[in-house]
Amino acid sequence: MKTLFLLTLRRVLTPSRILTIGALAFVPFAVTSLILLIPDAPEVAMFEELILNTLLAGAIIPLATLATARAAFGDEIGDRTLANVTLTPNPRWKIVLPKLLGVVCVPALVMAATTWLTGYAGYGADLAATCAVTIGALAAVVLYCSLFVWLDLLTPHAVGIGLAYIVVWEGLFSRFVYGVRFFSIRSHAISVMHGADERRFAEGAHTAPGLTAAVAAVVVVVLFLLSVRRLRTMDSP
Amino acid sequence: MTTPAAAPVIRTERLTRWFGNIVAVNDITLDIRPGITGLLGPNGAGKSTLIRMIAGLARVSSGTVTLFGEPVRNNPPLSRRIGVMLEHETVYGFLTGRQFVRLMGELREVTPLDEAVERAIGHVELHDAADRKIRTYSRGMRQRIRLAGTLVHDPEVLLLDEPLNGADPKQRIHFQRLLRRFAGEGRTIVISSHILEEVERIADTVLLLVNGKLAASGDFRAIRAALNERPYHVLVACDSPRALAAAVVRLDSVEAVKLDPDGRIVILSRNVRDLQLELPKLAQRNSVTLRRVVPLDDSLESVFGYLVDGGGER
Repeated sequence: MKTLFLLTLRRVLTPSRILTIGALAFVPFAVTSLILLIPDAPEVAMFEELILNTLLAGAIIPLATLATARAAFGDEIGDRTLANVTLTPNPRWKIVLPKLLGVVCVPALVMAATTWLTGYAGYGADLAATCAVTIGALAAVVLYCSLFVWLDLLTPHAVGIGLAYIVVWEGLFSRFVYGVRFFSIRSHAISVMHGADERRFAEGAHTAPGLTAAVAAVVVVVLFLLSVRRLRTMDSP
Repeated sequence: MTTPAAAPVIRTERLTRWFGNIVAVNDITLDIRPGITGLLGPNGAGKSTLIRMIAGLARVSSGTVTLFGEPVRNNPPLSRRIGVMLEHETVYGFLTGRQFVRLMGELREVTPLDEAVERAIGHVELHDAADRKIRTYSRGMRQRIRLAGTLVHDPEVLLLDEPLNGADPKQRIHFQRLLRRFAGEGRTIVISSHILEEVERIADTVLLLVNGKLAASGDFRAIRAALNERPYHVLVACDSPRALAAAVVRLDSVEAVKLDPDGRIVILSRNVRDLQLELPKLAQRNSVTLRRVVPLDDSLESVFGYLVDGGGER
């Protein structure tokens, strides 16, 4: 598994991907810093809604993970090297797991760092709140990566479908259609942030922290199993 | 080399694969025993799909494939015994040749790894370039390092899809020797190609695939004999076509002669080798100047078509 993990890391750590993730991850911190320079800085609730909910959890994290998740299987399918890893004596879950970990760890590290900086600046050095948003961002990274890794195995149009999902599902439906929130990774990330520090996102209706954690874990496991199943049944190019 | 009594290592029964409305492999039943088997057919005949199904990489629409009596699909432990080299380049350009072979060994849990890596690189004679990035390799070198990656776990079955693409003549000879040595060790080797002569030099047995169907199978020499008897159309342009046509029709190697509307001669011959020798002499004797001599149906498709349509029936 270590070999596949390192191979995936190597695929993630290409200059273009590092640049993409780095640039995306820097945006929330840069916007927060700019807002703080305004004499009448907006309230915390506004910071949470615009920067953390809409920008970070609804756009930056899914875009960054969409870019990195492709390194797990999308690139292997694209350059027809997938047979190198499927023609091995390993059970399929031992292929999916290290690849998923490989694509999670880089955006997780980068997002954790920049989200921490964003939270620290936005919440005025409130450490509990900063840790809460960082935990929420990490949960979002894992959830989005699991989804996009499966999507890459499912279709050659994963990038297009992923972008449509980010805009239509996370950006529109889950925000404005009642009941869809429960099926939104962005909403789960916000619920995790609220669960880790109840003072944060205090105005919205949130799922109970225990349920949020359980649902997130179930979603990751289900997506992982779907990826394993897909790898078993698909044609290797 | 091929032991006639040896049990089949690869067995397919009524194997079929559809891609939408197109049938890529159609109802193929075959047994492959130790030794070298050539999988021959024009482009699009279904060779790669068949190899990928035998390797367990592609689903079957119907029928079965077994290797050593076991189903291949979703049978990861079986991959220890199979080495597959696909038609398309499956290398990581950012690795060196040695790193690539090592990676292939690690993924297949080879021990002792260092020894296996050096042996595999030695098989393809690429020690000098093994520490260069693969992206700097020529096409032939990339084929060789891929072969090393295929051999690193010392597989009993080798499935090689167009492995000689990009290889120079020296590499081809080396490759043929290497495969013969492996076959002599009792391995089962399937090599696909669309080049008749290439397979003829290497394979003992041939499977001829046309339009997804198994058109012929058996000893290559029988197929070659059928090919030698195949009628060829040869177009001849000269300054005195009627005189040459009258002379040519008397040759034993010629079956029929026809003058086309442009004043060129079309000769039907079952012995092109003799015709090649006799035609210039005949032209000289009759003071005819030959301008052009062109075989009209020497394309691979016409050769396969001939074998399928009757001449190659066995």
